[in-house]
Amino acid sequence: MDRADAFLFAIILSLLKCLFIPAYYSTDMEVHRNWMAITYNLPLNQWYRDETSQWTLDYPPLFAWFELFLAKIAATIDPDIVMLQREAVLKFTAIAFQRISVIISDIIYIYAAYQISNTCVETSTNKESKRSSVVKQHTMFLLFILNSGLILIDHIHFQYNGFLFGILLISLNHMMKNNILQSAVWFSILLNFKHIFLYMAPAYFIYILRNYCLSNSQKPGSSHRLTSFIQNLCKVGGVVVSVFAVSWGPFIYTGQLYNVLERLFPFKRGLSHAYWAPNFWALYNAGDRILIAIYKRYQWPITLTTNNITGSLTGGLVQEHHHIILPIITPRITIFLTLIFMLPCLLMILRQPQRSSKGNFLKCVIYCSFTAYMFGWHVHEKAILMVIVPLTLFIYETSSFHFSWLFFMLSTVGTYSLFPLILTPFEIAIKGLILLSYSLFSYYSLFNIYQSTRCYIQWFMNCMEVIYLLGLIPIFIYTELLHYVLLPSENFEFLPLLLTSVYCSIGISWLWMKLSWNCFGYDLFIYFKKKRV
Amino acid sequence: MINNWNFPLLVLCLSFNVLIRCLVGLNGYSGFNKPPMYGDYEAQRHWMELTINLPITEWYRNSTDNNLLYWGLDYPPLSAYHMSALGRLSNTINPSWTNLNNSRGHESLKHKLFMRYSSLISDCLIYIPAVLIYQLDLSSSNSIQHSNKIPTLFIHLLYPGLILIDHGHFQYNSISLGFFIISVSLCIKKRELLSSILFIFAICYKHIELYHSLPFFFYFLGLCLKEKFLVGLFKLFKFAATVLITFIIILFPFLFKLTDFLAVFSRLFPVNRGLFEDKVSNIWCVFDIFYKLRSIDRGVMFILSSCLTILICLPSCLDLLFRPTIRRFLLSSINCSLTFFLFSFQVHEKSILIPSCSILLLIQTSPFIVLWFLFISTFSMTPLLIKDGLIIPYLILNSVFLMISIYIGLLKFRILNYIFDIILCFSIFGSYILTLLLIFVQPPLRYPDLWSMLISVYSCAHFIVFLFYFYTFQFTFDSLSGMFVYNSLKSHGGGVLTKKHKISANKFE
Repeated sequence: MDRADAFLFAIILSLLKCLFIPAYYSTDMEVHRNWMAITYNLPLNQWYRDETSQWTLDYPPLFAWFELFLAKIAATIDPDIVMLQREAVLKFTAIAFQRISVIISDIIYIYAAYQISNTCVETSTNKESKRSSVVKQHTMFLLFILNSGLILIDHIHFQYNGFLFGILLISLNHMMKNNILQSAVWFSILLNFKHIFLYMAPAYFIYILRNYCLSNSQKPGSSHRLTSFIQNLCKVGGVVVSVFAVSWGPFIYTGQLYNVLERLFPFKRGLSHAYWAPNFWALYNAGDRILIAIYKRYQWPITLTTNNITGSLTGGLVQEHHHIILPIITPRITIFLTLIFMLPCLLMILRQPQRSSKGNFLKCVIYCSFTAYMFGWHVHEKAILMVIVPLTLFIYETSSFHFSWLFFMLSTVGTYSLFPLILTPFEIAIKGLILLSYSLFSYYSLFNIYQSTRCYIQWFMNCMEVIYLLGLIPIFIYTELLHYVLLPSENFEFLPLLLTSVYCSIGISWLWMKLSWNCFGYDLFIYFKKKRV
Repeated sequence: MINNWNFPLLVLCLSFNVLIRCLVGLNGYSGFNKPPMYGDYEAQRHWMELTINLPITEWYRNSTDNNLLYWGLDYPPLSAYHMSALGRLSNTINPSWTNLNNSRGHESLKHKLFMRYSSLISDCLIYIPAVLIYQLDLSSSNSIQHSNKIPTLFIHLLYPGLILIDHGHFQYNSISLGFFIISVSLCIKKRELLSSILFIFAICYKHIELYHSLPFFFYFLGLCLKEKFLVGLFKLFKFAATVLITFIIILFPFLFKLTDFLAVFSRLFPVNRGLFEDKVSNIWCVFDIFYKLRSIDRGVMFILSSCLTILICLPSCLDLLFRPTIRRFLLSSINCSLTFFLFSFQVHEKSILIPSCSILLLIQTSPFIVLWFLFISTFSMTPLLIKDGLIIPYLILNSVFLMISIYIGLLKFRILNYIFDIILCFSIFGSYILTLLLIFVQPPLRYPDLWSMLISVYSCAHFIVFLFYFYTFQFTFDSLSGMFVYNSLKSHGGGVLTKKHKISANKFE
């Protein structure tokens, strides 16, 4: 790829991101500012104990160090930014500083995207195909850095996801180049920045176990299989443990281990967020609602888990959701379901011979995070980005365009599912236009190189999916505009959220099934077919 | 017109442009929180208030309910009708926004939202379609592929000056400029009568469009002269009748009494206002540094400046009169509007949008000089934009505008190869230095306006050179005949043309 072009585009994009400075921001702006204040003003042993503000530090240690680094810079610009206090500091300097810090830290993401798109699409020596591969590299680069979901979350809603995904891409890049140790180091660094990336950890764990520790290729010098296994295990374990030790050591030393863990894994929160992340549980919750409605209408003779129907109906959506007719879900059930569904894919990379498995590893990473998103406990809607961003790597999967279609669908629906996060009236047009631009761009760049498919079933399915996507437009118009005209009463306050959540979760569940078919379902199908013969 | 695969690209280009407009709209507007007079935003709101509460003939007259000193209506009737329509809409949403005399200086988030969306929608309904029609259908010969038109369209719509003024500072320029572009498109399509109607709309929306009136007049007159005597006379009669009827329809409510009509007229052409406002990058403002022109009687200055303007426009217009072709018409509209901006009476810094709009029409054929001009034109409004708190979007958009042109290959740099590239680089560099000085460096106490003055002089010098360039171009392009070939030959050297560029075949002739 032309380096100058990529560089120029990165500058253009970074400048355009600065236009978002006066846009709406969520409470996360104050959350991150408060973290700066905590790390700047308090000694180390108080970081995870402080409760001055309600926005306590609940990211892993490395992120706390990152906030300290930002706070040191911020303090030189305006000491008010790092003031530790109960109330929010909403000064312009604080907001602008944090916005710009996101934009600058995004450079890591842009760099990683550049690297990985060069690795992913091989530059061929043939002159004619070289040009097309350069175009492909550039397109993949653009699709990475323009990701609409990331822009909505990082630059409007406000979070630091960009550079975290940058680290993920660096790690994946190392993995694709077979630098397994480096990849493991980067991934453990990533885990210490934001623990949500644990969703992907099973894939990493199994792949490294299989392809590094249990590697079949014995060098002439190495003596024994078991010794080499132990050697390699020690190497990987050593680097990973040392990263964790550096990160966690000071906090264990100051006796905050329990505090940190309690902050990181808040199982006291409910199954679904206030706005149901559009996963399996959103459908489950909605199913429960419908069953309640039917129950009230026809007076079914069944025993309920709670007697108090009316109470939970009114307050149900605001706080935690209590299931009334369907069984109540506990954290253990969600973990169990997640692992069960991850299992086939993990087994697949455990079985696969070493050579062809790099692509499978990436698929497994995507599949694992998607499964965790579908069945996890208290999943945030933002977690869909952990599927969309790595899925960008598969847009030029040579065998078929299943993956690029999947990417197009998922990035559109997934980003749409983020819309309720941004709710101020002027940003409505902005979020709609960002999604529209990105979807059109991905559609244009992905499908003008593919011929239309001959398979009728495929064609039919694509048609249905396009109709589904177009259905987002009336939903958008209804939830953002018509609802407030037609049903302004407070009883229906949550209807737009419910509608968005259920509609998106139908599409996302379908795409999850499709992804599992493409990742391992088809292989399993072939495997059993052969066995029967 | 557009093949299947370009359709998503086209929609992408439009949606991105609308997105940029929305993002600029997030920023402040002119006169935000600055009593007692506020700014253009308040002017537009005040006109909505006036037009829905007063009878139509009172709009332009001083009365107890209509203090003309507080943002009295000084735009033509079409604009007033538009304000009246918007005022009715805003009245149904929230009556306190347009409450007579009680709503002065009304500022709220919802009202800002309403105003922003109103200018966005008028932009989307008039200006963007106008540019779309002009760029995709008309402006290029067949040799240029459709796919090459979309980048030009993109850049045309992305012009930062108009976006910043309409969606940041707050005005409805896109409507009159949109009408102007449609009327040019109609001219190219040989639908002159319709074109003249649309141009009258443009004038009746914002009379500053009179900057463009001379080329239109002489072009149509030239078309009539080309015919045989009687046919030409009949054609002239048709033009005159069309123009007159359009005017009569638009001005209808004001035609019953002579005093009503005169009231409108005196509001539109306020001779008793100054020669220029604030810091404008035109001749008079620069001249004012050396000799205080404001001490001269306004009447004298008015006559002097008007005569000078007409005198400079005349050669270009006469050329157009005797050789009425579209290409000459476009160049003459650039020359006349730029001359008006540089020499006429009562010029605002925002008036640069009028010449910019006609220069933008040449973006496909000579991108280099056009992009350069556009960059400087936005730069010349820097002091105004800083006053409105639009400095961040201004810096971003103006830089991104150039960078995107380079990225999509419209502007090509071959440094050390062409003298023009080097001059362009210096010119851009100088403008950035002046902007940074204006933002960060305190001017000496004796000259508090030093930096804005320097910006005016700097841009004015550029504009004079551009005027000179386009003027010579109008009279020499016949012999060079290369202007419309630039793009296809990927050459952009402005004036640098060699014999091999001579290809005369062109749709415009």
